Parts: sequence; structure tokens; C-alpha cells
Amino acid sequence: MDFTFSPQHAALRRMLRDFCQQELRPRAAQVDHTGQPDREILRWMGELGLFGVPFSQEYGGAGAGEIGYCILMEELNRVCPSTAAIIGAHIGIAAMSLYLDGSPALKRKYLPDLCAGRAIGAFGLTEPNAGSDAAAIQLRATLEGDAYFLDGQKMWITNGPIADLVMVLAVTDPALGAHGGATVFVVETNTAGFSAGKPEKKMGLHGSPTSVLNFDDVRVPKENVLGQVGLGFVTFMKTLDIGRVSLGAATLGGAEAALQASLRWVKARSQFGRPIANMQSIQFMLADMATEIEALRSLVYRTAWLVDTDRPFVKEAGMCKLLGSETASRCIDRALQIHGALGVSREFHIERGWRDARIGEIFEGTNEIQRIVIASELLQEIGVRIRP
Amino acid sequence: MNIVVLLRALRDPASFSVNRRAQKIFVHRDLHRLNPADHNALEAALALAGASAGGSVAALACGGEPAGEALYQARAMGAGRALWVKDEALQPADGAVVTRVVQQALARLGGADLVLLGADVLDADLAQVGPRLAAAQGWPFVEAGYRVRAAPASQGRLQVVLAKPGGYQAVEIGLPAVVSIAVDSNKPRYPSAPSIMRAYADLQALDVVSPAELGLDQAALAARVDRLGESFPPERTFGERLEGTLGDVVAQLAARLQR
Repeated sequence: MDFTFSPQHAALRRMLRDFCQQELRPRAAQVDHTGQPDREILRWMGELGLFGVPFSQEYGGAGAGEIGYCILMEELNRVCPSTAAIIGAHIGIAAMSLYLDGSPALKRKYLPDLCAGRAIGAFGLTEPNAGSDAAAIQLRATLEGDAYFLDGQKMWITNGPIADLVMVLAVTDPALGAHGGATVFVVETNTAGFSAGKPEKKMGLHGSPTSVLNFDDVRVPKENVLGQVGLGFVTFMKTLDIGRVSLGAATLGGAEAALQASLRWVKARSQFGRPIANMQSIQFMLADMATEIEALRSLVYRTAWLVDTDRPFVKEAGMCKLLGSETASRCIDRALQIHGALGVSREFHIERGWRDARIGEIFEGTNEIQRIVIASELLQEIGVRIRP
Repeated sequence: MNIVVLLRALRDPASFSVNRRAQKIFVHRDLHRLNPADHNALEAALALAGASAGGSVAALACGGEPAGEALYQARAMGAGRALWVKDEALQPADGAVVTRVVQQALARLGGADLVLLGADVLDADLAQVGPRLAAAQGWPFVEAGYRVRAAPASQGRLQVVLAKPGGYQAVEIGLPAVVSIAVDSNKPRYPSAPSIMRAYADLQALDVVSPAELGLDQAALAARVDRLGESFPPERTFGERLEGTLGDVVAQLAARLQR
């Protein structure tokens, strides 16, 4: 067994660590405070190829695979979860669905712009009446001549207000519904009839805009069908499966940031005449954080390796998202406790980390859904098929 | 203009700690990084080559694996060529040996119009290689350049801006020359993710040679300086707190100022 990163992945991490520490970290508080993504840094990240890290260079990506993408998400989420969420939705689900199932022509048309950050992507699955029950979607696509017309609404769409392209799942055959009757479309957001709602007011990830998407007879040419007509649900589920790995990597970064902040603080803060690092109650919290983080790191990068080596990974991917989001929530909560009153101060970054971490247990499949995924994979291994 | 940049990889300060009581360095991790001022020199070279038609940058490093890593980094940032004089023994080599190696390496690279290197080295900081190389080649040397560019008025000359207390000084030199670059000048560009992946995928990214292939024998590689040991001065303590009533404190302060 070899647990070392390849030299190119190590070099990628070094560049990302430098960039995130020097350029992104100083802007993170501002991004949270104003609720506005920093367009300048997003443009810079595009120039550095960070919008297409996992994809092959043939389509303008970096060719760093799932491992490289996990490194990206880990490093981004260490310093600015809002920016990480923008990139995560863009690469991990929007561009990924195109990369996985798009025709070569469709990929050539859109992936280079997506990889360079010239176009920002969003992934439209959730609807007012279809959350965890994703198969209950109602957004309708009707074929008329050489184009489909989309009618309906998507909700809680990350990057909604800033997206140039949205990968949308719509019902093309109501008789079959999601299973066999849903199709993915690549929608250019400057098409007539499309509009994004106002950014939602959220507890965390303030700099990552989330909104409703309205489709009012939006015309989408047939060529913009992503994958096969009727099999869109499969494409989206496959995309979400792989997205869970990088989401685990992001939570890993968040948990590490919480531990590092705690380590700095316990050395600097003195009570009862000595640094609080001497208190066993503090030491136990640090030890628990470090142990859980190490377990998560092993799981995340082994799963990324499964993806990159074309091995089955669905069960492990669910575990990455489940363990990752809960580990991150626990770690940032302990970090807040260690920081005492400073932890809840809005002048300091721990409070922001705490607010930003919670959504990890909800988006891209709630943790309850992850448990169902993991259990169904487990039971399938012994020949039992479960239905939600 | 053919520019050669000398790069040195050194142990990352985050990877070791100094125990002053034991007078020892404890290494926690095997972690190396490019010397920060060399990073600035590399950026200065890339910017200068980018600004002049037909400019090229070759990176040169000697030592073991960390030197190779530094060269991959240079290729990812945009250096057109990289020459690695691969020999573990060259990692802690002294200035005289490095100068000899660099002279031979320059010949292998087909000569240079300008050699850039960092003005400071994070570990030893003996500042030997720049002036030694210039003297050995019979070239001019400028120390701690803040900015380098083609001289505005005269063809084939270089303008170097130096930071001086209270201002800047511009000097002009003829080429070929050796210029060391001040740390914290020329903020290094970030290599893009695709260029990092490409640099490592390119089997010809580095030209690897041994000192023997450069025509250097053991005598030429023999260090002039013997390393006897390491010693660390006690950590400085800053300030002293005067306690007592206002009158006491003032009296103590006055006494100290008189001393």
C-alpha cells in the first residue's frame, strides 16, 4: 500500500495552499459579510484552471482527476466555504454531469468555457415539492419541432443567480415520471423565459448565492439534451454519487481549519496561570478532533482513488459525505467551545465556520438519504433490494 | 535574452523546530521548499523574458530530490528549460563548489546573458554564489535588485532598481551579468493547475545530469568549508515590565535611563 500523494498532486496542493492562504483567506470575511461572491477572485481562479481541475485537458481541464479535485475542495473549504460551495456546485455536479454523460459535441461546446471559469454552472434538481424525493420533480419539458420548451420551477439552486449554464432535470414523459421519463438539459441562462429569483437569506455560506430558478416556456434546442432522453435521472444520480466524495473532501478542509485554529488558540490563551493547552478537558477535545479528521482523510482519499481507478465507490462516497459533514460539524462546534466567548463573536472566524458547516448535513442529499444509500448498497451485497 | 535562474531547495521551516536547550534541530517531516528569494528571482526572470522578444528562461538547481521538485515548480510557472545537476552531496555544498557547478552548467545550457538568483537564502544565508560566480566569469554583479528591466535608453544593457533607505536607486549594467533579487520583490505568479499536471507528465521536463557529466571530478567538488557543528543563541526576550505605583514606576524608569 502506498499512501503518499503523487508529486503532481503534492505540487497542486502546494499551489492551492499558497493561493488560498495569500489571496482567498483575506477576502473570506468580506465575502461572508456582504453576501456577494468575489468576482475578481473567481476570474483569477478561472485563469489558474481551478474551474476544471478533475476534467481531462482535452476539454480544457487540468486532468488532475478526483484526487486532484478533492485536494482543491479541501484547500478551498479550509479558508472560504462560500467560494468552495460555488466551485463545488460548478465542478462537482454541474460540469460533472456534462463530463460524465454529455455527447462529445456538447462537451466540446460547453466544457472549455466551464473549465476556464468563463461560464459558471449550476445543477437544477430540487423543486418546491421534490427534495429528498428527487423523483417527484414536476418541471415539464415538451418537444415542439426541433426544440424542447421547459416550464416549471427549481429551488435552492446553488449558483442560481450567477450561473451562465444550468443543467436541469425535467420530465419529458409524465407517464414514466423520473424513472425513464426525465431528461437533463443544458440551459443557457440568457434564454428568454428563464429567470433566477433573489438570493435566499441563509444561515451560512452567505457568499454562495442560492435561489429559485423560474422556467417560463424556455426554449432549449434538441442538441442541448445531456445524455439520452428519458435517462436524465440516472445521469443526475450518478453525478451526485461522485459529488459526495468531493463534498467529503470539503468538509475535511473545514474540520482541519477548526482544529488548526484551536491549536493556535490553546497555545496563546492562558487561564489559571498557564496556557489552556495544559487542561486535559481541552486536550481530549483536540485528540478527538484530530482522530476523526484522520479517519475522514483516509476515507476521502481512498474513495477518490476508487473513482480514479474505475472501481465501485457508491457506498464509500455516501460515507464520505455522511462522516465528513458530521465530523466537520462536531469539530467546528468543539473549536467554538474551546474559543469560549470569542467563538461566538462575529468579529472572529469561528462563528462563520460554525454557520457555514451546518448545511453539509443537508445539501446534495441529506445525511438521512446517505444512510439509505449506504444501507441499500450494503444490503445489495447480500442480495436484498430495498426501495425507498 | 537568455536568462538562467539559480534555484535552491531547502528544508521548510515548518518541518523542524530548534531546541535551544539541547542545541539541536529536530526534523519532524521531510518537507522542502524553494528558497523564497529564489522564487522572486524566478518571477523576475519570467517577467523579463516575457517583456523582451526572444527571451528565454532556464532554471538550474543542484542537489537531490528537493532540487528536482523546485525545477518542476519552475517549469509549471513557465520556465522553458530546467537543468538538474543531480547529486545528493551538492545539497549542503559550499559557495565555491556551487559556483564551479554553475559555471559548467551554464556552458551546458549554451551560455547566458543574465543569471538571476535570490539575494537571501533562508538557511545559511552566506550570500556567496552570486559574487563568486560573477568574479569567476568576469561579469558585473548587482546585489538585491528590486526590479530588473531592459535599460530604457541603451541597447543590450540592463536597468536594475535597488531599494535604498528612503527611496530607490537605478543602476545600469552591461550584459552578461549576475543579479541577485531581493526577497519580497517580484511577487511570484501561481502556476496554473493544468500547467502543473503537464510539467509532471512531460518526461523531458528536466534535463538531468551528474557532476561527472559536467566534467567535474571529486577534487572540484571538495568543499572548502568544514562544518563543525551548530549553535543557537538563546531566544531574545523583549521588554521588561515595571511594577508599582506611578511614582515607583517613574523612579525606576529614570534610574534605568540614567544607567
